[in-house]
Amino acid sequence: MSTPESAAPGKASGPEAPSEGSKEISLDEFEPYGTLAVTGSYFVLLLVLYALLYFVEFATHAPHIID
Amino acid sequence: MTFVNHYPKAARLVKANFIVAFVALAIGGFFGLIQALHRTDVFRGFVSSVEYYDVLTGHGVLLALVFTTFFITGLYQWGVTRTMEREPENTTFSWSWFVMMVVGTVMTATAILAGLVPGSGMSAAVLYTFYPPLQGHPLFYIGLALLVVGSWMAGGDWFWSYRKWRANNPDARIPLQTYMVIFTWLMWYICSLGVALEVVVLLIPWSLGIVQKIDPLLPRTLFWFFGHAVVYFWLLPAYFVWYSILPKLSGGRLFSDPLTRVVFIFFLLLSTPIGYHHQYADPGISLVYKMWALIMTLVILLPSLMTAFTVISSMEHGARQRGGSGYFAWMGALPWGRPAFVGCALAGIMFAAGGFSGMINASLNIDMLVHNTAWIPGHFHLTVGTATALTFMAITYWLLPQLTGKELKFKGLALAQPYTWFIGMTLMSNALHRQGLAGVPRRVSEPEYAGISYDVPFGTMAEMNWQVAIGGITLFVALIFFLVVVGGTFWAGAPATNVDDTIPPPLSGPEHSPKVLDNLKLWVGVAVALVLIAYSLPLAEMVMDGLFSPGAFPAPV
Ligand code: HEM
Ligand SMILES: [Cu+2]
Repeated sequence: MSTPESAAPGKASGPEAPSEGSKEISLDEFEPYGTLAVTGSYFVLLLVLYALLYFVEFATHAPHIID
Repeated sequence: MTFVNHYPKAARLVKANFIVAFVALAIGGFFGLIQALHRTDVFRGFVSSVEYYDVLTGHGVLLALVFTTFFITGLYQWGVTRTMEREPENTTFSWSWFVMMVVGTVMTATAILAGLVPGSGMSAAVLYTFYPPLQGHPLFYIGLALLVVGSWMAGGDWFWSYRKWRANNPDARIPLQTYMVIFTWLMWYICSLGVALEVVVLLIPWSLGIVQKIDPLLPRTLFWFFGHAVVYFWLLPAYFVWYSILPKLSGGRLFSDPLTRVVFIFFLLLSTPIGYHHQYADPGISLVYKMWALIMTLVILLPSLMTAFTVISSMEHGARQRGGSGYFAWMGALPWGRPAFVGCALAGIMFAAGGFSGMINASLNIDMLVHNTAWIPGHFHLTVGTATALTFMAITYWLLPQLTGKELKFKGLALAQPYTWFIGMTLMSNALHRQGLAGVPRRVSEPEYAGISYDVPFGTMAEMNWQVAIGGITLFVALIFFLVVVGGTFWAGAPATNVDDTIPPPLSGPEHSPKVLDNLKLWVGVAVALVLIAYSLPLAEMVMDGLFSPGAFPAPV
């Protein structure tokens, strides 16, 4: 059975996926702090790598006006 | 009862599109293997160093243009049919766009592959960007034009279904999957106009010899009018999978439907006007427009971060429903034994890494460090080469039973495949990035030069070459796994009894979001206005001195 995923919430056959005998978590109970941790870490990593590339690779290799 | 039983006509069409996509993937992937071995001087026996460019053109065209387009039209046909709950409106029309795309592909592929046949008198070693004054056989360009026109008709087919659906559902919100299809294709119509004009007005007459000279800048600019948006044309269908199917594969539900709509609107508005960021090194484009492109490119990071948030939180929702907990430990509760999930998740991780090298590319000044080096293929094998390609392969594992009514064959191979791809790409891509920093050029069959030694920042040249070669071999092995699973399922899959094909509704549905999100006319209007602001002056300036001048003669091919 294919169910239109957003046409009529509630009418659909319900979330069947968490079949692995586990609980169902509603929007109000769900606090995505794991997502915050992951995206936050990624952001920090981006900044560090960018700084590394900018100062170590780019700034030391680019032609300089002074010399 | 699954998709193929409800919509047999659509299922046949989707399968036909997928088959063409996978044939292109197989040939293009083999060419990739040749390149990885040839460039690194591990093995140069497949082709000569001149024929390398025919192979490279074949690789770029068959993978980035043909494999992607056919998979996308198949995937979107599936999505439209299941959410509109209707078969294609007119079977003849549907097959006619498919046939037109196939004919175009065969023409283009013939022109390219003929370059490998001595004495054929035909070649098109112009690479998949076909910049003049490199010139290919007219068949190459005519075939590409047919491919694009066919894809326009495919979109017309879906709008047709949408209009019929709208007539029966005047007040309903557009179902999310159809919404994503519509926004991708609106963007596609706008951006592919650029490449269509380039090919039909400039390149075809020139390749036929009707005009002798060509202005190198105008076609390039029209190409990149299309060329940044085309990366979203590859990516949005992967997002379609990540937003609408991956949450379910993770055992959860999509976090937010309205957020998804907002993200797709952003991409419609911003994809085309930022094409100049591929022309940072071109003289003849004012710095003002390059700066504008830089800023807009940073703005487009916003929908990308929103995507990261929405997709990861949907996966976290699944993990927590499966009993996961903690800040990072929840990831362990995800279904790492399910091929479709694993492929999408690993594709997402690689895409995050590609986000970093993409930020470097986007930086007007730092880009000069990596421009035209191996860093660039290092970057886009993470994006189109993995985020898109691996997602497509992975979701095939989930779609095939719905399309064929058969069980997936060789499930163990299917599970090994995304992990193998991930390992191969980690090897190849990191080494290409580092070679790029050392100054190794891309698109060169023998990147070693007498009297020049590369200044390698991390590692050694030999080690990087081996990583590229071993990575390429590993990727090719993963590709074989994929083809064996797909072929095995098609020809020898056991009849499926209980196909898993449902998608639970989002946690936060569209009902409370403003209706303006679904206002297609408004968003197209804004998108066109932004394109006009970005492109009218520079294009007018390039056209004013005559379409084909200042002219250059074809470069020897
Ligand atoms: C079997 C897996 C693959 C291998 C071993 C591979 C290898 C390579 C290598 C070594 C290059 C650089 C060649 C050069 O610059 O001289 C390259 C270029 C390229 N690859 Fe791949 N690749 C693979 C899969 C893919 C996939 C799946 C896609 C896209 C869907 C893709 C798209 C491209 C494009 C667009 C280019 C640039 C062509 C050009 O510069 O004109 N590749 N590939
Ligand atoms: Cu771009």
